[in-house]
Formats: sequence, C-alpha cells, structure tokens
Amino acid sequence: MPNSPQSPPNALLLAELRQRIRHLETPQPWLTGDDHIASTTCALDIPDIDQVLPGGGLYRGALHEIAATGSVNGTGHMDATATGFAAFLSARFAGNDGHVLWCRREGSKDSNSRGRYGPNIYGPGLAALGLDIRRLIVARGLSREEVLWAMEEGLASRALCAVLGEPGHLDQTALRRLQLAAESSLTPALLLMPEPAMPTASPAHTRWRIKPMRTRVSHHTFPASAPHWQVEMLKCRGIQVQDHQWTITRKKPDTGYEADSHETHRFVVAAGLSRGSRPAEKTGAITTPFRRSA
Amino acid sequence: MDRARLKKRAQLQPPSDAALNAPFATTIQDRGTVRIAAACPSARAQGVAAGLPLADARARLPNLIAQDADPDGDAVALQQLARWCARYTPWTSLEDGTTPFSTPFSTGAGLWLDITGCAHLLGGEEDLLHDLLGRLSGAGYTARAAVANTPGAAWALARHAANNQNTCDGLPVAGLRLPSAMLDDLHRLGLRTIDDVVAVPRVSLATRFGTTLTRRLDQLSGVMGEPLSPLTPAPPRRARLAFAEPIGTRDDMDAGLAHLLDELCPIMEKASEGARRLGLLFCRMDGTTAEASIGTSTASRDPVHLARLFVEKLDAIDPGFGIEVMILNVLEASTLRAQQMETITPEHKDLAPLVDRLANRLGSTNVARLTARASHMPEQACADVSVMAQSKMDALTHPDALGGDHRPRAERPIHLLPQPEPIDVMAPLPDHPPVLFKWRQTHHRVARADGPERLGPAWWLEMMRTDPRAREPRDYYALEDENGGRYWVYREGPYRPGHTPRWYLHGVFA
Repeated sequence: MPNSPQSPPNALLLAELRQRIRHLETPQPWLTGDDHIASTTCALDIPDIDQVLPGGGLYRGALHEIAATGSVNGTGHMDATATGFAAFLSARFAGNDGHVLWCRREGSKDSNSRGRYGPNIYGPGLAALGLDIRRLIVARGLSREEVLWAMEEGLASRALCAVLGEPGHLDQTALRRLQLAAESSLTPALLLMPEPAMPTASPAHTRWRIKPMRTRVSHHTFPASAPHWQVEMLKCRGIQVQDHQWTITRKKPDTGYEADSHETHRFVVAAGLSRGSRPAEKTGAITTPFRRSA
Repeated sequence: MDRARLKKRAQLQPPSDAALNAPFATTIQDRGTVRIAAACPSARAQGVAAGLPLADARARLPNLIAQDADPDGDAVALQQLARWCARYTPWTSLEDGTTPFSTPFSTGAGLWLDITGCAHLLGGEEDLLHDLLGRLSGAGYTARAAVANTPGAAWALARHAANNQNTCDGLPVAGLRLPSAMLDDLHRLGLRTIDDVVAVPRVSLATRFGTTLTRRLDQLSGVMGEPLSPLTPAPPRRARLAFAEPIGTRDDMDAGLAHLLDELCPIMEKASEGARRLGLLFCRMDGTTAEASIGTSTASRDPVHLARLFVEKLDAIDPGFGIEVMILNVLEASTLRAQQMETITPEHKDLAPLVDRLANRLGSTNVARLTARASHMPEQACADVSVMAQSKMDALTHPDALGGDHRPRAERPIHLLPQPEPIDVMAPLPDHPPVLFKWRQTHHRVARADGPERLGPAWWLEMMRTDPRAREPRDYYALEDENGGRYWVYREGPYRPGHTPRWYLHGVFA
C-alpha cells in the first residue's frame, strides 16, 4: 500500500475540529445543535467496517473512490461488483428520502458503441441494493468533460445526497476539483474508476477495491445471485490503513427482493471472514508506511 | 373588411449581385434546354426574361453571368427571411402552396406578414414598409412590398402595382393569383384588368371558370376571409428588445436576455404561468437569424434560473455583423401557481434547477430517471424516461411495480445487457443449468447455479405474432463462476428431444 497516509494521533481530532469550524462559518439551517458532527459522516451499517472508519462512517463532504478491477466479470470497462458497491454506498448516503445523481459516460449517441463504458444499469437490480430508483437521476455524458461537469453541477446544487460518477480516467486536477466541490457542499462524491486509471496520489478521503467472492455458505440459504463481496479499503484519511479487508454479504440473503424491507439492504461481514482489525504484523512488508507528501 | 387586417406582401427575387454591375441570371434545366430561371433587373431591361433559353440570353447579353439555380438553398433562405421578419410581427409565413422557385420561371417568392396591431410600433404602415424595404435592400435583396387590407389585395399590389399605387384599380388580371390557363382564357375574352372581371356578372363568371375565379375576387375584396398560417406557431407570450446600435458582445447579449426575462416573468406571474420551453431569437443586421432554446423540467418563471439555462446556449450564438433585435418567445408554458419563495428550514434545495441545467447541456434524453413498470419481462420492467417528460413518467410508474404482483420472485442483475448475448454452453443434461459457458471469448466454469425461474412469453403483445423468438418461454438461471462472478443466463424454450436449446446471457449481478 504505497499511499497509506501516516497521520499523527490527533489527526482525527483535527479533522473533526476543522469540520466544526466549517459549519460555524457556513450557515446550514438544517444542521442544528450538536448532531451536526454525526451527520457529517454516514455509517455503512456494517459494524465491522464502521468501527474502523474515523467518525464511525464515511465523510459526506468528501470524495470516495471505488476501484473497478474490471476484467473479473468481463463486462467491458466496468465491473458489476464495483458498480454494486457504489450503488450500495449511494443508497447509504441517500437514506430514505435523498436524491442521487448517477453520471455515466456513453460511447456515442448514435453508434453501436453505446454502453462502451459499461452496460446499462438496471433499476430492479439497483433497488435490491437499497437504492430507491424513484430518487435516482441518471445523466449520460458523451465525454469525460461532460461527466465531470455534470458531477460538479450536482455537487454544487446541494440538492443531492450523493453524486456518483463514472468518468473514466481522471487527472489530479479533476480529482482535486471534485474533492473541493464535495467539501464545500457537504455532498459526497463517489467515483467509480477502472483501477489502472487511478492515480496513486489522490485527494480522495477513501479508496475501495471490491472483488466478487465465491459464496462459501450453504447453498440453500444463499442464492448464487446474492452479492458476496471482498471489500478492501486501500486508503482512508485519518487512519493508517493496514490490510483492511472484509468479506461482506447480504444480511438476510434468502429474502431476495423485498423493496420495502430495510433489513434486506443491510450488509454484514460474512461469518468467520472478518479480517478488518487484524494486527499489522500480518503484512510484514509494510514496516515503515509512506508518509503522505501532499 | 370584416376584420381590419393589414397584410403586407414582399415579392422577392433571387439575390441580385448588386455589387457587380454585370447582368446576372440563374438557370434551370428544362426538358434538355438550359433556361433562365430568374434574372436581375439590368438583365431584364435587356429583354432577358425567365424562360428564355440561356443561349438566346447569351446572344443578347454576351457578358451575362449565369449560375445554376439552387431551389433548396432559396427555400432555406426564404424560411430564414420569414423568421427574420418576426422582428415586425410574430405572424409571418411563406406564400402558401408553392415552394419558392420550384416551379420553373416563377416570378419570385413571397412572404406574408400579418401586421395587424404591429404597425404602430414602428411608426405606422408606411414607415414599417419603408423600414422593411430598406433593410432588405441593405441585405442585397430586391423586394417589392405592399400593405393592404386583404392578403389578395396585398399580393396584387406587390406584384403588379405601379409606383405609389395603393388601390387595385386597373391592376391586370394576373394579380388575382389564378392558374396560367385561366389567365389565358381571360385574355382571350378581352378581360385584361381586375376591373374588367368585376364588371362581368358573377353568375357567368362562375359558369365559365368555376368557383376559383369568384373566390379569388372575394378574397381580394375581403368578402371572403383568408387566414394565414404563421410559419412558426405564434407563441403565447413574447418579449422583444430592439437595440439602437447593433450589439455583438456576449455581455450585451446577457444584459439583453436579462432585460427580456425581467419583462416576461412578471407577465407570466400575473397569468399564473411558468415557462416550459423558451426560444430566444436573434435578428442579425444582414437579415439572418440565430436561435437558442431551452427547456425546463418543471414550469419556471425565475429570471435568474432561466438566464442560467441560456448561459451555455449563448456561447454558440455568432453575432455576425451585429444583432439588432432580440425576441424571447415562450414556446410552451404551463400553469404555475404562486409559490412561497423561501421556507424557514429548507430541507433540501429544489432539484428542478439542477435537472434543467443538466438536461440543457447534455440533452434532455440524456438525463433520465429509471422507472419501474408493471411487466414481468426483464427488458420491459425498467425503462428510462427523460426528466423532461415528468408527467409521462408518473403515468408509467406503476405503483405496484416494485412490490405487488409484478415483484420479481428472484434477484435481478445490476447490469442488464441491451440485447441478450448468445453463449456457448456445456450442460450435463438438457434440462440442467450449464457447468461451463463461454461469453465474450472467456470461459467460465460454473461453481453454483440457481434456478430456473421461468418467465413466460407475453402472449398478449402484438410482437408475439411476428417474432417467433418472443413466443418461447425463458428459463433463467443465476450462475456463479469460480472467481465469484455472477451471471444471469437463460435457456430459450423448454427441453425438446432432438432440439439443441439456445442459451443467452442477459445480465450481470453485483
């Protein structure tokens, strides 16, 4: 992990104080009282992961990157697993009544290359991950610039609970802009990028890599179609990331498709597979973690 | 007569090359001969008339410049000109029935302008006429125009009147817009002018020439009304801004737009309306126009919001030699009740401005919502509908689509392929899920399989009768390969002895 930030022990405190000052400076009437610290983060509702994350969840005003390993599912540029995780995160951010903007990149309007940057997302599948498709807006851009523009517009509007984008390759400047836009509007920006296109240094708060896993539980309780993911946290601001891996799965796998049941959309760490808080000596290679330069 | 309508008719000839003094004409192929389609005034003075073979014309005028006529280009130019005339009145149209210059040797194309109630804005009919002719000749067009109480009279005056004539007395019968055969008959009868025809009893005219002639006479006098259809439907609301000096900078355009919106929005507010579609028309100095239009997902009359939507569109506007008039048309409006502008605790800001901005930059079809529909067929269970078609979406979204009877019994994939893709499959038994399949050049060894979920054909659809494939039930399986990839495949049709079933991959699970 070449980019794991090494932070002083009071980094978390500093981050919280900075957030607090930012809120004092920018009046946000819907954040009142003391609960504003809590509402700047969003818990994934997976206790094993949440307890590792500073603030008990993902920061809202931040950029989060999801690396698509791509070829595993063979669906072209994007893979369904990373897309699924991104949809799950946006569903968590959106809660019960928030809107989500999903900015996708299309090959070209008329030619057959439509869907070159990933096949069509399918409503019922998204709904199964907890995303309310009635509150999802899909924007399709023809170029990276259009997708980025749409993402920035979405972030700046403050009308959304999450902005998810698949722009393809991005450079430092673009990432920085997204991070700043997310910070100033307190709207999370989720970036779904092919892993080779990801720059090693990035202003993002977290970076995740999701891989599909073979299901290792009983066939009768767990359908082959239910998500079973290996979630790897590659980076997280404020903590030292060391081999943070979990295998997560749906909490009630056999209920399948119950749109109105909250329990369905909950993920849990698959039994006996948690490696989240494993001590560092397991990864002996990293004895002196890299200091973040930026 | 019955309605005090004023019509003006501009007779146009092909753009004559005024700068070059050489006579100029356009030609057209007519039954193997190249003939003159139209000629400039100086050529006409030398006897070069429409219909003359080019060889004869060359004999008379050796320095004649001839060029192929371009009827399509002329038609486009005339359309442009008709739109440009919107600076005088919203009610402009092309002369009906004919595409200009399409009939060989026509004497020119015409535009109608219904200036009812508009003339006073430009200082009266005379001034308007003067202004129009001045601008047209400035743009290089030779034009004749006349104002009259009926379209018929305006037509006759514009084409056949002598200078300063403003009554139809003594005009030739050609001013009646009659077919040429009928004109020949009238000439043979010695009826040369409109007055001559009016003097003949109507009954004998009707028996001899049918109703065409009497109808034209009535239209000329105004006994019979003659409605003109505007080229573009007259917008319900419009605001117009003319500049003393032509503008050319972006800042000026923005200021002009802000001015127009400030004028229009209070009017819409009074009428409890909001704009759904707005068109901004720029009339340039040289008689051409440029247009920018925007749409909104929900009715809006917020000048700031509407101006923001135009921001990107104005980048594409080329001011040319300068813009002298800007016209803002409300192309579509819908009811918008008075609203409280600010609430005490805005939970979330309104989504509509964002959606509008996205849709206007990316195109309205590229900003969509996913809708769940009441269908058990995976392709039809979800559709994306443009955010601009909000009402349509509400109608399509079935309240029970995500629950109720149409709720899928099994998991659905996160990616659905636009078309199911054929896969090569190895199954131990015809009725079993595959153990190995090949999709997009990659082999997948199946570790686990779930299914089948049989989806029957939608027999009530018309498609059933035409497409044999749509008649087959599908048996869907969820497969998990050795790497953990999860796929949704189906077998087309049930197992039949001696028949190799076809397999397709339809989606990928998260």
